[in-house]
Amino acid sequence: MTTGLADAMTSHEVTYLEAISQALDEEMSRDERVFLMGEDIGAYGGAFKITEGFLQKYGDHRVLDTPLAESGIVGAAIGAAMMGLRPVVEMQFADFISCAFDQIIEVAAKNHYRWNAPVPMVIRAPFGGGVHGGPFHSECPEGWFFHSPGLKLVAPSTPYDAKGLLKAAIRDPNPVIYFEHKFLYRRIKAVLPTEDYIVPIGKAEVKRTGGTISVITYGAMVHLALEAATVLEKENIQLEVVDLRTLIPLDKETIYESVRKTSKAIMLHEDNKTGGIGAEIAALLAEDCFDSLDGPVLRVAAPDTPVPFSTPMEEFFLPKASDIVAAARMLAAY
Amino acid sequence: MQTEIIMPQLGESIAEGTVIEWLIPVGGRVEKDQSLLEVETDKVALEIPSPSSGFLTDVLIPVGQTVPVGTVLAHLNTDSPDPTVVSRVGGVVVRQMDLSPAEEDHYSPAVKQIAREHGVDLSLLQGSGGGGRITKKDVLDYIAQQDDTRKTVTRSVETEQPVTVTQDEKVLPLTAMRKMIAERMVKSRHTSAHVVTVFEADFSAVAKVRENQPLTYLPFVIHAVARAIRDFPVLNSSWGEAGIIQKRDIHVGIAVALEDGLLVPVVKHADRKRLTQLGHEVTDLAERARTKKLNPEEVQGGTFTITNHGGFGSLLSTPIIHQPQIAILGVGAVQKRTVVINEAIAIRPMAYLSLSFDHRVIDGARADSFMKKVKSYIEQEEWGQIL
Repeated sequence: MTTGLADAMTSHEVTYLEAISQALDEEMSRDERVFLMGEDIGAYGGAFKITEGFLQKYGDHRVLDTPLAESGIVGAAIGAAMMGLRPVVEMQFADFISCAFDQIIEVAAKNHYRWNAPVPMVIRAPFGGGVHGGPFHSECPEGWFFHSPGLKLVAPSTPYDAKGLLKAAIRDPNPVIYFEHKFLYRRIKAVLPTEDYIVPIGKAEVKRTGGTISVITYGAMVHLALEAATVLEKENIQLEVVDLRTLIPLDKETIYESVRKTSKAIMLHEDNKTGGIGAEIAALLAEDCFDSLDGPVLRVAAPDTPVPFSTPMEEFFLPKASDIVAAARMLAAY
Repeated sequence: MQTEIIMPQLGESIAEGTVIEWLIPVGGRVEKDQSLLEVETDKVALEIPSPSSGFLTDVLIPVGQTVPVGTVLAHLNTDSPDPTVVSRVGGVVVRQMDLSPAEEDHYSPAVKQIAREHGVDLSLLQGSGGGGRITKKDVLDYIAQQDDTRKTVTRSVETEQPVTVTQDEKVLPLTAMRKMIAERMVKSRHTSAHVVTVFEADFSAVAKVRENQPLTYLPFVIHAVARAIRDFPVLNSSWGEAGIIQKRDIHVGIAVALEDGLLVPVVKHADRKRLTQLGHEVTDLAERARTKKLNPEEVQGGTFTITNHGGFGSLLSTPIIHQPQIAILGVGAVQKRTVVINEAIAIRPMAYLSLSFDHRVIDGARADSFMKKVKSYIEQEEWGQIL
């Protein structure tokens, strides 16, 4: 086995990236219908080396290097899925997914509804900033798909969730977009179970319990929220960090349970503020948890601009732990 | 540049003050000498002008808090970055939430819900949130405290019972003035040996002068009292461990009823003033007492006090001495009564004068001699000459 291909049998710490690799490897071993398509995923091993060694291990009929044509990749995957295979498609960067928008929204998302033809496929979308990628390699495009019925969206924040959610996505009979955060690839590590496991789609997780304010977030922002919680703990402001993990279908039960307890909520995401997932959750809280609210529902999010390339500007653009701290202090004092 | 706003010295013996209201919101701009906040001491409420122009960047002492003179209350900054910005989330401006005092019945949904469930009357609670808002925690704490109280009360009835507030009761929060009055009245009762003596005075001569002068009865009484004090200077004194401290200057305090409370502005050198001047001063002091526009020194330094309880129809009273003075005179309502004069029955405007005096300092005979003088000065025929 080559270095890039993770070894599922060991119990040492693995990175978020290795966890994704492990999930792909295990699912390909387990189910021969599973195959990969994407730009430079074969011979090159993928832009981030997630599929390094896969071509050698599984052969070119299961690891397909494609032309630079996202619409074509997704279209082909939809066809394969409808014919009984389990394609896993890689968008080299989530930013390029807009090229495949029509196929995803008009075909993959609607097929089952229109003529009962399931489309069991996964689109892996490396998203998010903090890696100095500039406006075309740093986007958070989940909002577009969040608005479109017929898809499932997941966005793990830890190696454990990354592996478990990808395996669950591959086994799911619906089209699933898997948002993996590039910033986390090699920055976080964890020891993972040696046995086969999945993280069920549709289940949020409270990553830290606290009674003062619920911070509802996902992806890399989970770690910022945890950092802010450590700071605020000293001021007796206890943040409860709810990691959504799945964006569609939303785990309303966990969100509501937390907010009914704390009565105050901050939506935190790296995506633009306007029309984002935070806005939807804020609306849900107003509809379903109104009687529990003891303060305004706040959003901490990126501004409505492209992601800047310049390092200081990108730093300014991205939500920071200090932003969460400031918002939480304000809300706690309300 | 940053300027500190401190609790000012609002009069010689005043050690602390209560912030009543911030007149400029946090982040707001204030010009030099523009009123910045309102402060209340036990006797006066004052608007404090800003020492310089700038932005009120942070308020350290919230409304309702009492702090010693010299305490830093807030900071002013001459330069302002957008004062409403508290954080930038990558260019998205998070604005300061409106923490200004909430409307009286503005409760969050959570607070309303919990209050409904537990039958809590929210008007009984003091809010700890922004602008005094009642928070969810306040309600939960209140409920927990009520539970504790009920337990405590059932457990031990002999010990001092904690105040319980039932559904049909209401707590009126104590103002600084209320607390001060309560403290001082009880203290005075425990300090002086109060004795009351009552005289009746004929106000015919006064009434006659008043026919042509726009004066109330009060200036006449002040005049008569000040003159009688000159005759009996011991009335103008206070009790001291070393001995009785007799004051040279005669400063007569006038109790003025407010909507909720009482102030005692002082007519300085009452014995040196003509009736008309006393009349003007009394009217002016009373008016400014009611509108809380008195200067601190105007409620200080009294050596004798008059309370005009008759203004409300009262005939007799047993007033409490304003410490450290030794006597207070209550003036009852002037009423036409039948009196016997030279074996004949006459109708005269009469009033009872009640003197509470400190028996530690003077005895009954002295007090009555003083009162006899007061009575005689009120009844004198020469009023017209000392207008």
